[in-house]
Amino acid sequence: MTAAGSSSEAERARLEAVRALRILDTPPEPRFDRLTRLTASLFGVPTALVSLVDGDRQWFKSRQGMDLVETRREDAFCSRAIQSPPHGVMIVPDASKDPRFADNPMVTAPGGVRFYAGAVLTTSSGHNIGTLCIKDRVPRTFSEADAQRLRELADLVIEQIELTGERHEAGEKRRLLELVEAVSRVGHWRLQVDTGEVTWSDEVYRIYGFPPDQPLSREAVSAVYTPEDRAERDAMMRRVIEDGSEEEFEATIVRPDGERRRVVASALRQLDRDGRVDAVFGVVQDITERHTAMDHLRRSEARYRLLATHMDDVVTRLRPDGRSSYISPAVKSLLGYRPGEMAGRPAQDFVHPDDRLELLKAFRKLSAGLRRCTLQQRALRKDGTSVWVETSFQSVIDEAGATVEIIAVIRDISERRHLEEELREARDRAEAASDAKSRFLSNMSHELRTPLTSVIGFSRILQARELGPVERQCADRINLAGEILLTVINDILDYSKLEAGAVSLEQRPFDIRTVLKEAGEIILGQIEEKGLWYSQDVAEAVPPTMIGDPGRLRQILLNFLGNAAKFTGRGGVSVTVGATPLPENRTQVRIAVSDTGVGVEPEAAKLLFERFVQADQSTSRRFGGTGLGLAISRELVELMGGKVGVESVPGQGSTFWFEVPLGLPE
Amino acid sequence: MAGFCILHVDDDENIRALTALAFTLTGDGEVRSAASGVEALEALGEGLQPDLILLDVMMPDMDGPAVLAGVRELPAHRDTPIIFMTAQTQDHEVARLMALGAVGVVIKPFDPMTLGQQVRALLEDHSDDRSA
Repeated sequence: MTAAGSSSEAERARLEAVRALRILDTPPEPRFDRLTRLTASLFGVPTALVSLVDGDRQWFKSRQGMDLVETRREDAFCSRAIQSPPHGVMIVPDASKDPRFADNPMVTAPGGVRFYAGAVLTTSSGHNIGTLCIKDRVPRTFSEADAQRLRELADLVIEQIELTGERHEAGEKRRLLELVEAVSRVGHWRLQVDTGEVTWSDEVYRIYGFPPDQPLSREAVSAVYTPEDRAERDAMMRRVIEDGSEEEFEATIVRPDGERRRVVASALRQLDRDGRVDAVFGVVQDITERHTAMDHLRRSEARYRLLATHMDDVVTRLRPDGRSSYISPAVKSLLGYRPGEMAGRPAQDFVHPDDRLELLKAFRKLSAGLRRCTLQQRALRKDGTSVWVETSFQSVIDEAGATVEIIAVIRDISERRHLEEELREARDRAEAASDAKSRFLSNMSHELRTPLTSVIGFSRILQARELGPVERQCADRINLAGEILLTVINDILDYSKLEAGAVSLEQRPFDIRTVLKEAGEIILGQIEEKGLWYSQDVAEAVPPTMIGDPGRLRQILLNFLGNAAKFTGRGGVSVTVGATPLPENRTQVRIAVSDTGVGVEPEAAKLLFERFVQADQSTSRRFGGTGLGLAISRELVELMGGKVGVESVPGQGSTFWFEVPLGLPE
Repeated sequence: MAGFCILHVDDDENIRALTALAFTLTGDGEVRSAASGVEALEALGEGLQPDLILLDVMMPDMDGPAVLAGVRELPAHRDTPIIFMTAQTQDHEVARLMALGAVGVVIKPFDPMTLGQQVRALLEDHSDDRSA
């Protein structure tokens, strides 16, 4: 290798130094060409070169009298020259006579090199990177003074070369700075104190919204600040210059186009060697987006605080161990503690001893991953009394799913508990009353029916015996009175059951004609006794089989028939049954009982189906009855989904009717 | 139905008298009355073998169902027919009593002149059901 004598280590460092200059393969530059021209004319030689020695070549930054851009390193005189000490000069007066170069192709070629003088280009870091060299085709002598002069020219060259590197580095740094400024939205400026001159980086233009190609003035920059901010900014600058403080302030600016931005500006002074203020350096950063985000955060935090502060419910933040890190002020009115008195104490301290286990269990579950739960507990007031609260817990989990915090909202439910308690008591009372009523009805039924069994039973035995006319009359009256009393008792029990919703209807196939026949048989004696006629008519449209509760239908029909017989003195009673089809395989059945009796006034008719109401208060004295019969009928009909009604002309008669929807067999 | 023996249990003296009279007058049977469940069980324990027990439901101390249970514990009366007499007319009450193993229920007030027929009908229905 031609670079003999230099360790590979040193050569590597030298090559790094050459390449770091970033000059290899750059275009020719006048400042170097001026120097080589000057050198060639000064020494009266045809060739002058700025040669840089690369790994396996020498490359010419500037050349006079030479066509080649580069040559092989091993042929180069310069590769020998750079092995000289720093700033050294290698002189070859006649290469054909120099054993080092005599057989060099550049020497042996026709018109080859005879004279060579090269001054080493040594960088400020001490690396020999190349030479400023001169060549001639004829042998020459070169004095020490000539060598000195060449060395000085070489120094000029290296100066220019290093300037190039520095410039490059500065440019690189500037570009990097610009990039950083653009990314971070930070601009910088520098104020030269003695001249008052200010320079602004491109990013400052962008932040303030000025076109980048127009000159900027201090006044224009000042104008984007509001008057108050401008005053503060000026005051800050004074403090920075006079006291050397480093300051920062935040302000809203209004750009020339009207857009508002939030910026933070800071400045610091620079002193010269004598300690005088030389310049002020400042940066300005656009924090609008960050500010907006922070603002949202701050606002939502404020809203949450406001909410927590003004809510009657107590909001607390608890660590998973149950100790509070925040308690809203509402706790003062709930428990009598100030939030500070409770902070850091475990939640169970403020709960009734009987409720603590439940609370601790809830905390364990919340810590183990339960997201939310609600407890009703007695909280302990500062004065030792307790208050019913409902606490809704919600766990806050981190990305890993671990519970980091529990938010609890505590609500005073003493009022609600009180109401619930009252409701419960009222319900219990009502149920107890209802139970008592049921028991009473059951007992009454028993207590009334037992003596009635004797009254009716013994009178029946008497009636079956041979009696004198007076005794018979007495037995008959006792028996009738017993039967009437039994009806009254049955009515009362029936109505009570209906009122309590304790009646359930049968749903079974039956023939309405049979029901009509049975009812007629029961009532016929009573009707014939009074010398009345009786007729019944079932329309052909009435289906032979329908589904419903025949017993209850007979009860209603008997009630209507009983009333008709009771209130009719002359004429008769008729029953008609009609039917109209309904959707879904059902039939509307209408049963009407008409009489030629006393009739009722329209006003009174409206009230007839109310319980205990009879058309005339005197009716009960004349005709007996509890007035419950029609009320029971109405209740039963409505239970079947139907309705009842009456049409009447006083003195001429009445028609009581009811309609019920009944099912049909499949 | 000569020799038909009925044990009637009821705490009400009038009903006991009425029932006894009813069977005597109609010749439907001979009634032995008991004023309480205890008295009835004692009579049965002493060897009484009625063809039928008429049993009131609502009685103090020992009600009808309790008497029925006591009767069924006596080996000689596991199958003696029992008919309840009750003032409760509700269907579910009748159903409850039937479910206890009664052969029938007579509702109070009853017609003493037809009580014998009614009871006989219930017994026949029951034996029909059993033989069916």
